[in-house]
Amino acid sequence: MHIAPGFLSPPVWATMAAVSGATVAASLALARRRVGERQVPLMGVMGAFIFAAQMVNFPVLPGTSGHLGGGFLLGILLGAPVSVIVMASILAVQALVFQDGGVEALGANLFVMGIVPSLLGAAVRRLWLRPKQGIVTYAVTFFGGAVAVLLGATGVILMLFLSQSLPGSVSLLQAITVMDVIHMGIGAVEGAVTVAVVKFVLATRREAILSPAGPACEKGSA
Amino acid sequence: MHHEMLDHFAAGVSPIHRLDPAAKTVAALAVILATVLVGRDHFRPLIPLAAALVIYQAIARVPVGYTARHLLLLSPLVLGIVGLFPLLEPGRALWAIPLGPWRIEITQAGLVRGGHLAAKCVLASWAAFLLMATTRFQDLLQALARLRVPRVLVIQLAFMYRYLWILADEVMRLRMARAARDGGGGPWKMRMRSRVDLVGVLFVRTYDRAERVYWAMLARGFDGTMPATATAPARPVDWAFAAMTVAAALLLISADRCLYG
Amino acid sequence: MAEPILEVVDVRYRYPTGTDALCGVTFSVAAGERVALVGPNGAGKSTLLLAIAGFVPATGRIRLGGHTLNRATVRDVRRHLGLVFQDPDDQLFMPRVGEDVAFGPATMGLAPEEVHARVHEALAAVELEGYETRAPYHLSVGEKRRAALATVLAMRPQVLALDEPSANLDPRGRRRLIGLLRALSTTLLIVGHDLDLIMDVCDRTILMDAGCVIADGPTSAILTHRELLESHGLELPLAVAARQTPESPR
Repeated sequence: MHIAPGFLSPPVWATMAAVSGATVAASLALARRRVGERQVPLMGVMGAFIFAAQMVNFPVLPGTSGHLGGGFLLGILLGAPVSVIVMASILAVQALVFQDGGVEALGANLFVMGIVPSLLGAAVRRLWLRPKQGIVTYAVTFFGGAVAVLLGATGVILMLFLSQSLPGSVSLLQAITVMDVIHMGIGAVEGAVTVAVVKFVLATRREAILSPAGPACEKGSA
Repeated sequence: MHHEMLDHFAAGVSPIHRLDPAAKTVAALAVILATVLVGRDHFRPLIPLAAALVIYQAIARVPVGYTARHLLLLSPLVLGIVGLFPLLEPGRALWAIPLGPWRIEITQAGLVRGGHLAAKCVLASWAAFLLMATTRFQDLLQALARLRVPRVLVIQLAFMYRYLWILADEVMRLRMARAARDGGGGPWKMRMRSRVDLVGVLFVRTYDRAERVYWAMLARGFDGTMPATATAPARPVDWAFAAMTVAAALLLISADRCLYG
Repeated sequence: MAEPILEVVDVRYRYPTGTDALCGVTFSVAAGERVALVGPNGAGKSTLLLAIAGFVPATGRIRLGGHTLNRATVRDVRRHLGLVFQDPDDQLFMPRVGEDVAFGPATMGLAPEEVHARVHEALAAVELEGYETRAPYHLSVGEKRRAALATVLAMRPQVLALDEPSANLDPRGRRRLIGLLRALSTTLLIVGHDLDLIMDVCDRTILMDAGCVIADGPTSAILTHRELLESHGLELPLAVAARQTPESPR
C-alpha cells in the first residue's frame, strides 16, 4: 500500500509531511515523558519486531495472503506515541533502503500506515487494559483493525485523486470502492490476527503491555 | 540474503563510495525532489536526470543486472495505476480492441500519463537505490545526524537496523520449527493459529530482548543520553559534489517551469 | 587479609512468582582472584550476577570496589563491575564495533582522545584490532563474544563478571577465549557450565544449588569431587574424568 515516488503532487505530499512531522515530534515528547530512557532500546527493538512480523504471511483466500501492517497492533500493545515513532522509522527504512514508498511521500505513507492505525489501536488499548476481556473487546478490536486498513486504503486513493494521479474517467467513489473491496480480506486478517496476538501476549506476558514502561527494573538492593 | 547483497556493494571502493555520506545523501535528496517536481507529462527534463544516474552508476560500478532486477519489482499499486491509465484516461484512442460487448480503447493521453508516472517512479527509486548501494547504513546514520535529523530518531533507526537481521533470523528459525511440525500445510484454521503464535512468541521474545539490551546499556553507565560519535569532516570535493548536484537540480526544475510554463 | 574487592552478605531474592531464587548467599572475593560460580540450571547463578549489578531488587549487603550497593550508588557499582551478558547480541547494540566499545568510556565522560585510546586498548586485548568500523551482524559468534568482552574491558572494571562466556562457541573460539581470560589481570567472576574452561581459568569455585552456596573452595578440590558434583546435576570436567582411574565406580 506504500505510495510510490512521483505519484503525489507537491501540495499533497508537502502537507502530509508537515502533518506527520508534527505528529512524530509530539510523539517523541510524549514517549520521553511516559517511557523515559527505557524507550531508546524498547522502540528500536520493537521496530525490528514489526519488520520481522511483516515477514509472516497469513492466508487470506486460497492463493492470496497478507501480512500485518503493525501500527494497529503496536498501538494496542505499547500505546500511540511509541507506535508512531516505531512506524516512522520502519517506513523511513523501507523508503530509503528498500525503495518501498517514495522518500517525498514518507509523510503521506506514515499518516495512512502509521499514525491512523496507531491512534485507532491506542483507542482500543483501553479495553485490553481492563481486568477481563470478552466478546465486546474482541469484536471492537477486530473491526478496529479492519477499519484501520480500509481507512488507509481510502486515504491512499484520496491523496492520489487530489494529486490527479488517477485516470480521468474514474470517479473518486469508484476508485475508493475498488480499493476498499480489494482490501477487505486484508482488513479482516489484520483484525483477526491482532485480536489473537494481543490475547496471546496478554496470556503469556501480561506485564509487557499493561504500561508502556513495563515493570520497573532499576532497583538497588536495600 | 538480500541485505548482504546490498551491503556488499555499499562496502565497495570507488570515488563515489569514498564521498562523504552526508554529501551523497544531500545529492540523492536533490535528485529525488527534482524528479518528483518535474511537471505533469514533461518527459524531456527526465532525460538529464536519467543520464546523471547512469553516470553515477557507472563510476560506482554497481552491477546493472542487480539494479534492474531491483527497480523493476514495482509494487502492485504502481502497476495497477500505471497499467490502468491507458485504458481509462479519456482522450484520442490509438487502438480499440473489441472484447465481447465492450470495446477497450487505449488512449494516447493515458499512455503518456501512465508512462510519465512510471518513469518518475523508477528514476526516484533509482536515486534512492544508488545512495544505499554506495553508502553503508552505519555511515548513512552518521550523515543523518550531521544533517540535523533529531538524534532520537537517528538512534531509533540505529537500534532498529541493528536488530532487524537478528529478528529476521529468529522468524526463519520459528518458521522452520513450525514447518517441521506441520509441514506448512494443514487446515486453514491450523495454519492461521500457528502463524498467530509465531507473531506472539516473537513479540514476547523481542520485549524481553529490549529489556536485556536496556540492562546491558545500564551496566555500561547509560543515563538516558547516547554519546555522540566523532565523524570524519567533509572534504572540499564532498562539498563541491553536493553543491553541484543541488545547483543542477534547481536549474533543471527552473528550466522545467519556464520552458513548459 | 586486605579488604575484599567484592563482598556478598546474606543476599536473598524471591521471584515475583514466589519461588526463592537466592536464599542468603554469602561470600567475598579478594582482588585478583578468579572465581567460578557453578551449579545446575536455575541454581541462581545468573540472578546473583544481576543482583550484584543492581538489576534485581535483592536484600542483604553487596559491596563492590568500596561502594555498598543501594539506589544512590548503583551507578558507581556498575561502573566498577564489568558485566558481560550471555547473549553478545544484547551487549553489542551500536551500529559499529568501535562505537560499541566506546559507549562505556564515553558515558563515563572521558575525553574523546582517552575514549579512542581505551577502544584501541580493549580491542587489542581481545585480538580484534582494526574491527572499529565493522558491523556486529557481520561478526562470527567468537568475534561477537570477544567484542562484547572488549566493550566492558574499555571501562577498566575492578571486577569482570561473565555469564556463560563460552556458550555457542566452537572449540577454536573457546580455546582462544580461554587464552584471553588467562591473560587478563582483572578480578574475574565466571558463571557457567563449561567446567573445563573453569578448570583452566579459575583458581576458586563456588558451587550453588537452589539459591544457596553448597561449597566454596579451590577449583582443584571442588571440580574433582565426583559425588559433590553429581549430586548437584553436574559432571566431572572431561580433563579430570580422563585423569581419574576408571576403577572407582560410585
